[in-house]
Amino acid sequence: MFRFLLRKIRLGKLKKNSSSVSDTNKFRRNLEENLELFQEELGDSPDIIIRRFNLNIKNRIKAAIIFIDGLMDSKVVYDSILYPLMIEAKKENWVVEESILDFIENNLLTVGSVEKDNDFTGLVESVLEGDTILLLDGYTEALILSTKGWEKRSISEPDTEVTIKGPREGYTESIRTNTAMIRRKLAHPGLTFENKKIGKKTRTSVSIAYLKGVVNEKLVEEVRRRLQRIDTDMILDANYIIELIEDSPFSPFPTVAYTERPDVTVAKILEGRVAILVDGTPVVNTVPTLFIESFQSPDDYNYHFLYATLIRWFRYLAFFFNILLAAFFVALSTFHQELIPTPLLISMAAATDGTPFPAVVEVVVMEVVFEILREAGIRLPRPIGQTISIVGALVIGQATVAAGLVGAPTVIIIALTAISSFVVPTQEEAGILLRLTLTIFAGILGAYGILLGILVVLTHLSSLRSFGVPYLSPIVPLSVEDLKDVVVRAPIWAMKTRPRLIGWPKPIRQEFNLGPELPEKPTEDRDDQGKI
Amino acid sequence: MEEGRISSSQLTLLVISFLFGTSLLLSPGRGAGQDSWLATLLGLGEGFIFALLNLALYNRFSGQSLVEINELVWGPIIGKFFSAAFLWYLFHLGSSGFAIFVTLLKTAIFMVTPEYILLVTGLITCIYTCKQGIEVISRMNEVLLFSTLFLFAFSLFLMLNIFEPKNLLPVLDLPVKKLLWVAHGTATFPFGQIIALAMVWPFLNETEQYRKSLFKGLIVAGIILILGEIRTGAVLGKISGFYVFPTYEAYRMINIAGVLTRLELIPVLNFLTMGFIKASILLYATSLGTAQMLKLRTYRPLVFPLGVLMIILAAQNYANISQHLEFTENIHPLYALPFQVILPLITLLMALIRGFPKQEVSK
Amino acid sequence: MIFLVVLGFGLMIFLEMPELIQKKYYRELVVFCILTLIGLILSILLTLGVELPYLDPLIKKAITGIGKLFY
Repeated sequence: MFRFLLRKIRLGKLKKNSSSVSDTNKFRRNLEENLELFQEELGDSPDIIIRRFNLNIKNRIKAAIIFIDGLMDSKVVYDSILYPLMIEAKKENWVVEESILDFIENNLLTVGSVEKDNDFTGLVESVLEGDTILLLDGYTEALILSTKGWEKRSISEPDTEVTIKGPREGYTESIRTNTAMIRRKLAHPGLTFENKKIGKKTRTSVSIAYLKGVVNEKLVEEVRRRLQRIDTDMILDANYIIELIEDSPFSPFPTVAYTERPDVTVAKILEGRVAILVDGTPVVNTVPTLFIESFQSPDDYNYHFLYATLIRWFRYLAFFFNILLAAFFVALSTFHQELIPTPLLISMAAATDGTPFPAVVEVVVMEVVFEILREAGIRLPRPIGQTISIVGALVIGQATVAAGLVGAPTVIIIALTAISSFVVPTQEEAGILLRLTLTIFAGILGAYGILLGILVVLTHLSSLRSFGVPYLSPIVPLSVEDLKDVVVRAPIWAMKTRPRLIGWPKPIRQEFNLGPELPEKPTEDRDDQGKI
Repeated sequence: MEEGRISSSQLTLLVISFLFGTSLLLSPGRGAGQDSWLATLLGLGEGFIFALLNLALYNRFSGQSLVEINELVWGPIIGKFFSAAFLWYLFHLGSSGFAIFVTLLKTAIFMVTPEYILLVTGLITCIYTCKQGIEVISRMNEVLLFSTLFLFAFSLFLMLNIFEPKNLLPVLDLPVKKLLWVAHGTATFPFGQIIALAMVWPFLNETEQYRKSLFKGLIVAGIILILGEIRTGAVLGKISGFYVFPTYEAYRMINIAGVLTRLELIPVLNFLTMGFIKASILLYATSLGTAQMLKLRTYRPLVFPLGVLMIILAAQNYANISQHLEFTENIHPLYALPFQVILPLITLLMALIRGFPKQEVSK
Repeated sequence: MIFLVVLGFGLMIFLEMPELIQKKYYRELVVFCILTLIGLILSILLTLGVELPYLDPLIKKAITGIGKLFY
């Protein structure tokens, strides 16, 4: 049905107007003419700098560099380009055998990466990315000098995924910093980054990262294919990519995971997943994504496994509280009072005595009020946000109960639900939706309504796939071996295989008998080479 | 038509839930009182014979559903009659499932809610699931079956303090003829009904495993049903035969220190989830079979109208619950025979006469 | 009440038909329409309160009739 609508939209869409930026051989030999070309293309903005100077090798040649102020590292431009070309060049009597351009490249420029190019469009692009280009009079080629460098946020602790014992570094907006952070944690030559520019106007760098030998080649191919067919003019955030490549765009459940932490990304790459990095976004996405990943916190692996297992079960419990508690409350208090133990029923009845609305209205209204409060608390500056929360939670909650508008049990239920919703942050969006619908179902049909709602959700979850992997795996379809990171958090030495459906090209992670041993005899050195 | 494939363990689980379906609550051996477990055991044996017969037929046509087999053996016209009869049985079975669904909900929880609301909402859920195909049904089934088994084991544990083995005595306190009749009843309901899965097992990805998974499913489901009968019999004793839903009454007896009481929502939950799976399978099988019979390219558009007809029939099946019980106990054991045994049997004979399999039929 | 029934059927038809027409599945379309029509008529009759016969006595009669042939 939705597919049909989409097709309608697509049919109605106008034919794409192809942009005409593909005339290459515009270059002349005359420097001034070339500079005019650039000026025309780049416009008169004050941040575009064209610096003309004279080069004194053999004889005087006119030269110019073009760069964008603020995007380049000024130290590099002054010390490694302008100084050698203008000052050092004069000092010696050079014997020049090749063309001057080659000579400069080989002997004078002390920039890290130099490239020769005669494609006008490509040159303009490099300028826009922060590189500097060098033009010489009499040449139809130019040098692209890598001088990228701009103000960026330094690495700081992630805001949303806080760990207590884990590393404190989180991604920044710069894709280069992010790739560096990943590579620093994963120093294997198999780690591959594939870069791509997406967005016809924004030209955003998008990288996919994977570990050769561990990843399923078909998966990489699929990710490439999906990125290939993106044809939009702007990519401002990772979510722009995600919504264009995810499997079921109408599902409230996230089928692409995100993280702010390089350690999490590296762990996922090591399981055989592919990471997608988008420039300008301090989160990295990984595919394929399983439902169960929402419950695996990075701190699980930093604590003792028994404790981590227990905490994980509390997390599952919190998720069920989050989506079902309000619905159960409504169902019990409206339809199935006989199932509540009598003493509890009496105290509940006493607390809700005289409230004017049915339970479902109370719960839904309080739910909406809470969501508004939370939204206000997030968007406001932190000190005010806290005030809002206090005013909201305490004053409104207390006052409504005191005024007899809402029963006290409702407020308790909403508070519990709210707290639980923060335990599994990645399922929060789906959680709100489910909670409200299930509550309304419960208000209409009681426990039967909840059951039907759950059945629909389960059907939906079982039909979901993320890049070819069933979303509910390893629970459904069941893979007993993979339950080691689902039902329990097995000790590190017992996690000897990768997830079966994701890391199947190379499932074995480590030797079977890696559990710690006490040294009865002197320990031999274990040969740890050749393992990824 | 159906692109999904299921694994042999998924088929086993499907068989189990299908057998649990309505029988977890509507005890199959209800008529035999405290001997119902014995009747169920005998019925399981007879059910095995039915299953063997169906497998003997299926063995000759690997990868074909019963409707396609009918067509191959009998030709397009008579084959359609056979298929139509079989599909009618599935359809009727599905509507009975819906009917008992509503009866339970009406008697246990929703005294005042009109029954069509319960039917329609349940149907919408079923339609949604059926349209996703067999793969999703069997995945759902994994989750639901495990929760059911867990709740079943949990309830067994909770009933330990009201468990009275003396209630099961005397064994064989009824005429043998009656016992055999009830046993035959349990053979046709639920064990013989697995013939409905003849629409499903062509989608097994390990084609040779169907026999094993069918038997495994039969045995596990049989054992659990017998356990349930023993439990109900031991808790309720002779009076178990008087209740409409003896299992439900047994759960009502649970009382652990006054804290865990009124757990009758557990059997209702088990019944609803398993009944949902059974109804989904039946609706799916009916739609798929109809589509195959009429040589359609997809079964999906048929799910909705057939589902609607199914619930209309569910409302028009029986005037009341006692009629339904009488039907299950006295009529169904005879009514089911042609569909479960006779038609497959003569199809098998015809296939033998005509010398099938003639060639490797490839799907 | 009838309005709701028709609305429900209309919704399902609206959800099912376009895909069938687009794929040119006319055979399927015919079967779908026939079945839906039967369903629609029966449900309207039921909502109007028309007494439709129950199925169970019919089956019972058929079975006893067949039984009499043998005894």
